[in-house]
Amino acid sequence: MKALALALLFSLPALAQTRVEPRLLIKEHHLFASGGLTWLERGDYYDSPGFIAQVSWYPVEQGGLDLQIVGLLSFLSSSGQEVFRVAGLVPDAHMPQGLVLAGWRHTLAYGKAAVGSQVLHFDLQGAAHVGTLITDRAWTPAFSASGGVLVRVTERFFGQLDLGVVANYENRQQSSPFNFGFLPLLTFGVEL
Amino acid sequence: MIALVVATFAQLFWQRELGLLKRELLEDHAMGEERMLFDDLVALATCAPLPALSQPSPMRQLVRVEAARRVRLGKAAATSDTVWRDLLRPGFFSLTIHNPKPSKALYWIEEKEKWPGETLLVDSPVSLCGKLPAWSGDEQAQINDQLILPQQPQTAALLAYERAALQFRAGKPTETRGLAVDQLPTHLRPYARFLRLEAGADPREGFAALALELPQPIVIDRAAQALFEAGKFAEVVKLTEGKPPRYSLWVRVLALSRLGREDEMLEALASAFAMPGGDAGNEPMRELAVETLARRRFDEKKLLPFAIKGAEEGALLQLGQRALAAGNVGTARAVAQALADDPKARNSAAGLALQGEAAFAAGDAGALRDALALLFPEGNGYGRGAVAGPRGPRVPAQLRIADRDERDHAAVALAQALAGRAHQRPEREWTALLDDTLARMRDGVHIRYAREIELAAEASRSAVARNLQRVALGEVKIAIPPQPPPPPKAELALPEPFSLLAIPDDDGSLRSWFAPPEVADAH
Repeated sequence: MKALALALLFSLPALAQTRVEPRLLIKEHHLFASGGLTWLERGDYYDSPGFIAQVSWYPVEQGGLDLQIVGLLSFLSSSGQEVFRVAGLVPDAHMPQGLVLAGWRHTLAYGKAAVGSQVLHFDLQGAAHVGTLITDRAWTPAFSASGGVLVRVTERFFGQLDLGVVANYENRQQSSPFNFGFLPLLTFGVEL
Repeated sequence: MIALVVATFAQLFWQRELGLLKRELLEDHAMGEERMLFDDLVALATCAPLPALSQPSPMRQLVRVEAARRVRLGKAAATSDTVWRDLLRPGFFSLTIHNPKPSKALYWIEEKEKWPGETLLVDSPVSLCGKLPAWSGDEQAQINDQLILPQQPQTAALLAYERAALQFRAGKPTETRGLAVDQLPTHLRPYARFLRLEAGADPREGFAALALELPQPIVIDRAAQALFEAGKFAEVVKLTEGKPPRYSLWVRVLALSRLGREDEMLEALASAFAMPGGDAGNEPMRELAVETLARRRFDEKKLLPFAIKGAEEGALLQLGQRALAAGNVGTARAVAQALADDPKARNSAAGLALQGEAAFAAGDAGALRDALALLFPEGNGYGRGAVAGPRGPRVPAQLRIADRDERDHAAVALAQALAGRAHQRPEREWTALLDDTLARMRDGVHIRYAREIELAAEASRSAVARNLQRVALGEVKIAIPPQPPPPPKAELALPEPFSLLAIPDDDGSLRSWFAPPEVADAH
């Protein structure tokens, strides 16, 4: 396996030690549209599964603009429901209902992996977004940072897995207004 | 798997695609023997230095031998009938590398694991053949039994030939182990036979057959020598017809002498003396010519080819003496007359002395007296030192006072000769004449020569002294068959083997180079 071998993107090494092949996962001037599933985990007595629609436009091979729209189907977790049943209390945290984030996605490395008889080409990427976390009470400012992998499945189809951290600011009665959450994203899409 | 890889290497090599071959070699990480061999061949074709072998490898060693040969050949390598004629010709091998240049390229650091779709980027091979390499390597030292014996028969024979040729050119003893003539290309076989014969690996009689196949001067010389030593004189004569080299002519002379064909012998001798070359060892040949002519009617023109330039009179005197020794008084007297007529005092005096001796041998007392009269003219008497006046008119066979020393030398020689021949004329009147003659000569010469003539006179009266005198005068012939001059140094331009390489072909067999052997032979 040639996992995570670094592509030398900015300079050519000595020829005798270098191999060349046509790039299969080409992003430059391409639109990547995908949809999938997500889960926002903030430790706030809410379980927040969701779905996501994501669009990325790459003006250059190394990076592109990214827009994420997440809908969250939050509900009280079992422990939150137990507290409510015993004490009649509800969390002072807002119930997340959605995210709208825009930012920049940057390619950190190019790699390929042998999977059975197939060779999968992928990008290791990092991304940073700003936007808003929509809760049951307000639209709160939010910021996210993530790292992930963009995997070329076929010539047109791809999959993407991002593991991100989301931070937002919301008014709470008892706890800190600064909240952090873990946001994994798994999407599949088409390259246009 | 290895066979498949080798086939790829070999295919590209024989297709002269050196650039592609380089890529394939870099792609192969096994570093096996075959891979290293083709690596060496790429270096050879681009005149790059070859690393020293860490372990014995006969085929790779051949590449190094070939590289060393290029250094030895120097600038002539490019036009030699060797692989270097091809290797040093720009464009013989394609050095082009086709590296892919996709618009969206991924460049990976080289690693052992191969991935589909990846192509190794390779620098084009750079030929360094434009200049002579500074490194060399001892070609002769590399070609040893350890290298020769493991090779296939044809390669082994070529290497053995190359070793022997190098040694021959260097004037060293030639080794012929492995020099199998039949395994060599046709054009090298005669030269290989020569090397074997020269080294003594084959009987010397083989030179005769080789001379027909390879009519080079040294081969003809060797053949003539071998035939002569074997007593095959008629074959020597046949072999050396036409315009043989000088040494062969000498041998032809001796063979003709043994066959009694004197006219042809003299003709061959004259041709040999007329050819350029040193005089070392030629004296027996000159003697042979004079001996032969001494038995014949005098003809000065026939003597001249054998005379040392500037010393023709010496040859003439030698001829006269030989003629006398052979009993050919007619020729001796003719020679004596020719010498006596010479304006040079030394020759004239020697001629008169010879005339006297010839007259004694012929029993011609009058002629002896005439000769003495000319050596010691009357009128001036036989007084010590008296000869013709210094300003007197010169006539043939008349000597001046200034020539007295020459005359006295001749007189001493005549006295000794007469003393040596005294036994031939035991008659009383001849004994008296001899005593009188010797006494007159003793009185006529300068006092410092008188003693020698007295000794001669005593010898003429003593049998023991007379015999000693004959030996001293060289009249007692010791029969030593004439021998040819020393044979010339062996020199022969030996052709180079076209290739010393053994390169795997697609089918696993070995080839020496691109041209098949018969084409290489044509070169």
